[in-house]
Amino acid sequence: MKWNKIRFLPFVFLFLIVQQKILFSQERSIARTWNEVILESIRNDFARPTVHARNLFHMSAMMYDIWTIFNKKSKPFFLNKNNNGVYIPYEETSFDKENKKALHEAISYASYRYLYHRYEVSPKFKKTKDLIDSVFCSLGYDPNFKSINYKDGNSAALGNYIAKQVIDYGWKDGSNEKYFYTNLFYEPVNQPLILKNPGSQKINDPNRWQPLAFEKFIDQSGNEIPGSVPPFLGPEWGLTWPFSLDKNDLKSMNRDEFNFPVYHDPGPPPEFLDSDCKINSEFWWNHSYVSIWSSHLDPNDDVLWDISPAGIGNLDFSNIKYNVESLKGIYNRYDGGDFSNGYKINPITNKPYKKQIVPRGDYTRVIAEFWADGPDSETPPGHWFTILNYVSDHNEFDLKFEGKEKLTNLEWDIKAYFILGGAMHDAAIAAWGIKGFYDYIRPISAIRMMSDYGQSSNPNLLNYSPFGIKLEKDYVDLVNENDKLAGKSKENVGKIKLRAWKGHDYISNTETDNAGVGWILAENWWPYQRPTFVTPNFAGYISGHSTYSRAAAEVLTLLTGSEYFPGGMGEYIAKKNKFLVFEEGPTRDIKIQWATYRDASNQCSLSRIWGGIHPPVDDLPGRIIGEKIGIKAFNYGKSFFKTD
Amino acid sequence: MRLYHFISFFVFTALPALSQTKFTDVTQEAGIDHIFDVYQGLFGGGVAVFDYNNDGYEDLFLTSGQGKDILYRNNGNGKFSDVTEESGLIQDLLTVTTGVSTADINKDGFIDIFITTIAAQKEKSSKIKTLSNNLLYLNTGEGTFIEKNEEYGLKDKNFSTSCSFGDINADGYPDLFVANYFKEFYFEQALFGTHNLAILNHYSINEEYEPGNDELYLNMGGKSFKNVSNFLKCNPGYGFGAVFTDVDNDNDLDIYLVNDFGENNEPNQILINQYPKLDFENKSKELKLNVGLKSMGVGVGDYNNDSYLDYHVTNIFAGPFMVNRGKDKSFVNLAPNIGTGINKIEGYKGSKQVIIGWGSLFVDYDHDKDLDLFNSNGPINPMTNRIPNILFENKGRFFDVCSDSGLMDFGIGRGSVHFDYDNDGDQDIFVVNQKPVYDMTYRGGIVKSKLYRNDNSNNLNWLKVKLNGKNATTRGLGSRVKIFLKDNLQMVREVDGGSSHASQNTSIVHFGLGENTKVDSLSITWPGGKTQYLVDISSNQLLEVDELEEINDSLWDHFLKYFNID
Repeated sequence: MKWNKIRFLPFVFLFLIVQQKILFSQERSIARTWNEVILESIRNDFARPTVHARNLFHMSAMMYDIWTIFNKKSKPFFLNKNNNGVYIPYEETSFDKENKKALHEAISYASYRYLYHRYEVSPKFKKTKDLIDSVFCSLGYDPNFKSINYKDGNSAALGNYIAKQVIDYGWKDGSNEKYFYTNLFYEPVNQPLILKNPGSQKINDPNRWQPLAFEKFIDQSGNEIPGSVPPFLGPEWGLTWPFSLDKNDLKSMNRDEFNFPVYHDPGPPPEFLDSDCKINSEFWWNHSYVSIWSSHLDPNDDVLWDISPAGIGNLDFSNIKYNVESLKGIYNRYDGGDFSNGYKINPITNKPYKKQIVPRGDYTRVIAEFWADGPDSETPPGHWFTILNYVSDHNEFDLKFEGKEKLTNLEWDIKAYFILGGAMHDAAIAAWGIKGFYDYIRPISAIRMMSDYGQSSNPNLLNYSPFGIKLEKDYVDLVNENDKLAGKSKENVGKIKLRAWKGHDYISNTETDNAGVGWILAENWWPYQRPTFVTPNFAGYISGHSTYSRAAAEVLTLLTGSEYFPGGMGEYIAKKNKFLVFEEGPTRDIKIQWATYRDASNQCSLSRIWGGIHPPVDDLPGRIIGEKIGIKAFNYGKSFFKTD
Repeated sequence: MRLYHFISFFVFTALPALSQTKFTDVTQEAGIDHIFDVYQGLFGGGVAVFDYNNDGYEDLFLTSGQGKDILYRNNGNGKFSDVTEESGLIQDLLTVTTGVSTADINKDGFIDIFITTIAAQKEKSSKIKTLSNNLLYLNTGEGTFIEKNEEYGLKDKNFSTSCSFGDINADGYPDLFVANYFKEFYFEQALFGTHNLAILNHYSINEEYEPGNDELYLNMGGKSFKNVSNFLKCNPGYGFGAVFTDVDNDNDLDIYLVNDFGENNEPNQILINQYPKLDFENKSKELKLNVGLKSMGVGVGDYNNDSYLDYHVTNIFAGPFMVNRGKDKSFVNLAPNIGTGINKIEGYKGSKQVIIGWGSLFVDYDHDKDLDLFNSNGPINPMTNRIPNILFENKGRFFDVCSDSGLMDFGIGRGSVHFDYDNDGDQDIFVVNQKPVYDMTYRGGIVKSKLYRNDNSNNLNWLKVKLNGKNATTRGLGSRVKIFLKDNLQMVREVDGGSSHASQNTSIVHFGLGENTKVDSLSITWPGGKTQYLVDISSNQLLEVDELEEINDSLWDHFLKYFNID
């Protein structure tokens, strides 16, 4: 595994790189330093996007509040006001305005205490601890100073005090931090899908989420017991106190004797059966989409795409509805991608974008991995913080708030983190409230389940079932007698086969092999994700990635005053044969490019379909709700920046 | 050359010390030689800790299946002597024993033994076995025991796996719970083919045998037991045991019982004591303790020092870690998030093995003021895959100690207990291992039961508390000892009347005190609610506390009670 290679690097060396990167880059603000530390702490933690969105937000708001004490022009978020019944008092103390040394000290002490608290139960806390300690100490601070008595003007004590208050706020904010965010009410209705076995196995309710079992134990007589079953992450997250979500957008929706708080209810996703008790074509259309797009993951199929902003981007989906007819206007079912127009010219340079023609199979695999944001990543909310930092660092970017007022490094970072953190936190609460309530099935379960039933296209063909998947030429078919897949004793004849990414069984060496695309038995279909991850451990509807990303794109658009990346182009280079983790590739260097923040967000959304974990109906409501959340969060956050 | 030998000797002996082993295997030097001789199946065995001769050193009783059960006298010099024969604990007919618990049944000051069995020889010459009654041995006080089950009304023949004692009606006499697995068992004389235990599996257990009814007995003044199993408001399950424990902090003993194959049959059950009314109410669903898994055993301990007891249940794969959120609140299973959710463990020669857990116990092995967790693991005979035991260190979240623990033997582990065999203040661990059914010559050999001495050398402090009940049971089984330390830290322990698996831990409660050299105050609440206090107790001692006959509530207590402050 390539991933192991990284672990084999001498730890000290790796650690030094991280620390150097964080500390000694010129012109980085103290807020940025600690933001880098929390992002690294997230990478050392479990992939829990809800929890990390909250951690990022509380930390950003905490730093913002300390900054307001020294700035004296803006209103704090937590201090001296009632937040959901919690009042954090702060007595005006003689901290000098713009006293940089004191401000840095307060922010550092607060961050240090806060990060220790929120990440000390991480599985890799030792790494995190070393980093937090070394950054704090090399800034010259003393970890043993624990006083919270700030009233005589001690800025270190101020940091300790505010961190303690924010931590205490966190004990009460509905996130259930006390019990490690464990579900108190939710229980899955379906038995786990044992990944080592074919098919969808036992699904009691085809409209509900099915857990995945990563292990199985076989007793003396060959009976199987599922093991390593990650529970649903965050079905009750809607209970968490938000940043700017509006009570008017909140519904309390009851299921299984629990009231799920749902913001921005998008309505139910398509059910498995229609009113005639046959497979619902909307259900089929959406989930089979994912297996069809899985056939685009072959770099050797001679399909070449222009993936520059000239070819992809600039999609308009305002006033869209969530039904199939509307979705058809956006997604390209057989060729993949969306029906966006691209850009004729870069409006910043007034020159056309340079084409970048690459194999579709490289592009799709690279973006599926780039946006996976699973294990060892900073998760989607953290990912958008890295994009914000990328923008802030960009040579052609001026740190102008809304494109108008030029800010210092510190003020820019403080304000941007505060709003982006708030938006990410709200996106998590809204998306996971919806996920918890609708508890909707994932493609791996749905595709295998429909195929287990058979085909619903033609009663005269083999394996007909009114609940089955529909046959589609070149993508979904029946195994016939002469088929390679028929098996030694023709046991597979009549089963459903899919032309799709073939899965991890076809990769024995992740350095040299790629699975490629071909016909496989539908019962063995896998999403294009790490074998240790497969599909995130929560319901699909609505896509968290789409919600986070669209919200973040709106925030960045408003914050910078331009929908375009600086210079009209954002870029990330995925190195040839290095970038992909669980198989070989890409076959050449791939430049991921976006003209606008929304283009990046849309690409992220599509990557989840290629990644095999979201059908279109999960994606689009996420984008639309994300848009609302991002705009609301920006305007709400901005309202703190001026005193009355 | 000689010098070279000397140096290499030095180097090799110095190495283990460097690797910070927390426990040391002292089985041999302690003179212990035991293995549970399994009767071709997965059941048993257990170990009970008690001081049968009241000499201040805790002794061990070990069940051995179809082998000879052993009473080991702790000689006080780090060695044990097998005194089974001289104490009269020998059966004429072969009896297949499983679990064991001890209590002073008749309150004569000497601790008696109760042993569960699954089968016995019909007659001396025959190999044929039938279900057998369980065994009650009364302690005469003169170093001997006399079998008394008939006299005490314990005649039922059942397929029993384990037992526990607790005083449910607070009359001072320990009451008895017996867990039964099968309702009936067809031994070799089955109609269709032979049904011996070797072929027991998921299918045969679920399809061919009905689960057994557990038994509850009320101790009638130390003279007999009355069957009150109708108080167990639940359906029969494949019972592996129960603990008497106060889940809701109302000072009476509730019953948490664990069942095997709970996914398809009766899951685990919590029965809430309605004391002073003699009755129980089933609150399994409300409290979400109705976990349906392959539950093998349960450990009790307040891992987060919030004065509510939490429960860890062993299972195939990681077991649920049921955390008590307070009175009338449902429990939450933290196993996936608290660090104990480990499903596989490094087994023999680096192979990964699915954990099959049996014994579970909470103990503060390193005196750092929080309860750590130990699980004894082992495959299901005749399977021989090697699944080591596991120790988890509590740091708010749990982290597995594994190879540094010194506890990772490859025996077929079952019951385990903690106690202080060498009276040095820290808790040692004993693990019962089963004898493999298959020949182990080429499978790494046989691993017998193990005594592990705690060698975790830090200079932190401890306190042990031994209760001498007068109105309550002799050792205060089920009583709650609570200590108050500086910084508002409170810790509770419950005296074990039998827990997991098929075993019973020490009845002397143990606290790790960290840097504290004294305990501000200590309270003892006996079953029924009578509470007494001590103040200003120095650390690193065994504190013996006699129950006060009359406890006059102070004004302050009245005040607390009036406002219902705990």
